[in-house]
Amino acid sequence: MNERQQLARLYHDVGKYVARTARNLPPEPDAEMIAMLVRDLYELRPSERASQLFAERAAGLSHPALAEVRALLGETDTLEPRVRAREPEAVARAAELACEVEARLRTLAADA
Amino acid sequence: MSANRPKLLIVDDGDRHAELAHRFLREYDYATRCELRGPCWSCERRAGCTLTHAHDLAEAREALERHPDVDAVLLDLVFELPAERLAPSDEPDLERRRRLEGLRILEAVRAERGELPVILMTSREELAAEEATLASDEFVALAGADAFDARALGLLVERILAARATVPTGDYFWGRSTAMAHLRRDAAIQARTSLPLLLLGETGTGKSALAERVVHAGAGRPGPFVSVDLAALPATLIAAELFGTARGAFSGAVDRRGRIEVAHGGTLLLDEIGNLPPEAQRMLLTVLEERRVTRLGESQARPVDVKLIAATNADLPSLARAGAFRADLYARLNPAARLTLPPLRDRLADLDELVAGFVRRAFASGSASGRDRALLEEYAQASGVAPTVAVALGKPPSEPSAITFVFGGPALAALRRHRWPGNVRELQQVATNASVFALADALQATRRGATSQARLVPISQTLVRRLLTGDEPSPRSEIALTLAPRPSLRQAARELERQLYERLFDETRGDFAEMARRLTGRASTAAARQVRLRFNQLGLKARGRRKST
Repeated sequence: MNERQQLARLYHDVGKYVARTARNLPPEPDAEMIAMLVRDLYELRPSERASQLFAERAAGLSHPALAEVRALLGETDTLEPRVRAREPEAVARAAELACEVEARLRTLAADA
Repeated sequence: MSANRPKLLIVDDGDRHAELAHRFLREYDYATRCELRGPCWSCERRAGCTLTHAHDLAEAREALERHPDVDAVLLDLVFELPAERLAPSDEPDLERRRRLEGLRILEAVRAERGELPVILMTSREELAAEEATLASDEFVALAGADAFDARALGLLVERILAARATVPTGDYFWGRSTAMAHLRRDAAIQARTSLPLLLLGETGTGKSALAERVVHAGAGRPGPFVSVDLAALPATLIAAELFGTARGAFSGAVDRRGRIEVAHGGTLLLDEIGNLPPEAQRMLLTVLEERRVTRLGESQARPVDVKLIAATNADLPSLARAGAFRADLYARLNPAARLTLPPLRDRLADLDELVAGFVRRAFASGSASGRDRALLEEYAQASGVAPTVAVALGKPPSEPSAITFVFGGPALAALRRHRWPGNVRELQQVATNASVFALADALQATRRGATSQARLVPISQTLVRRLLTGDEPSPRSEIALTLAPRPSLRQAARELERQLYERLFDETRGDFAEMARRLTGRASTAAARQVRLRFNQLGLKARGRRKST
């Protein structure tokens, strides 16, 4: 798989799914929506965080922008206990980060 | 669109799209209860839900089979594939192999339910990678940032379904074939233009119905729909009929609008345009170029605004090459945007529903043939059941709630084997005749007290085969009559009546009671006697004819 194909897959497998709920989140999300957000960020695969799938899919890629994405996903990981506890500020920040991850991976895939 | 809320089929190997749609499309009035495990139809909480989720092609097919009223399909393009399905020789590019699975599903949905809109939920990069493979008119895409945007998805679904709802259909039966789905879309587009429209197709494929019920109905023009069958008019009368006449144009001519003027503001269908005589071709070309019509015998041109639809089963380009049809007129008929109706033999998947539709239509209240409805009511009264109609294809229902016409497996097989040279029109005649004959038999049996199940009217294979091979004289047979101009209307009418009696006599092998039944719906002795009297008054001889047949 060449770099272009790898970036396309990274966007499909991580970028699209990580922002699935985040981009649709209303200002005051209900418990069901937050549960969906938790699945997107921390259970993208069974017991696998989005950051873990990202690390797996991005292995071998050296694009500098990927480090920024990795950092964004790292920050979402630090928010996990508070998001699961449905703290509004943490939920809003996690959604913001997820949308940012999606946008950056989309740009990377498009520019490749 | 379905009667109530629109129904969506989501085809995605994961459950993320389905979950998103269930949760976020509530604003769009979709039922949203789902367990998200396994095929949707096994979900215990399915009642009231209008979303169906299939994970692969097999489930998608099953879903469409179980839910024929699905309104739109949401399809992910990229699918995870199990290792056993990944042969290196298939496609060295694994990513492309995953996309090909989505394309395979798209192709299958298009083939099986060509009329269904498909929304691809994917990325722009994936779409671009398959640009050469994807036909852009086969789907709409929700790509890039919009791929998981519930609002964008909801609006797109609403827009697609609204657009489908505005496609005029009347009672036109589109069926499920891809060719008819394309035709439906193209007809809706053509209806909105003022350009002429060329309709091609074998006889009986439904060109006139499409022109009136779809194109004219969809055009929204204020004027009438006017149809002229050029094959049914003597060539010498065509010009006067189309363009109108001025008093004195020829012996007996009066001031009269032609059919083109009558269609002003509306739609004019010229059926069998290949029969247009050369002089009339020249005049029609002038009408198309100048949007004005000049009556025969008059020099003043009158403005006309007509949407022209020309229909034919002739090979107009060949006629043009042979000089029998003007090439410049053919070019004016907008051949590049022609619509071609497929023959019935190429859309046999629609046969069952067509049969059912024709039978229901034959016995509907206010149907064109009130006689068939009268027969149904007579049967209902004799049997003590309500005069409502259902059609069963295959096995009869165990507890029919209406008078159910049952086309058993062998009868259906005979219908499917037939080549249908007369296409949908022929099928309509066979289906209607079969149900009328079967109902008449059932009525006789009821009067003899020989029926066990009054609500079931079986259509036998024998009857269907007799109708298909023409052994059974058909009460619906179309009779072509020819008429040269006569000195008076009375004489013309008498000549037509004479030809009609002559043809009916031959078809019924001289059975005056049957002739009476076909002409009046009554086969009583008195009616037969009246028909025989009229037969003699018309100067026809029974004796010699019977011998010849």
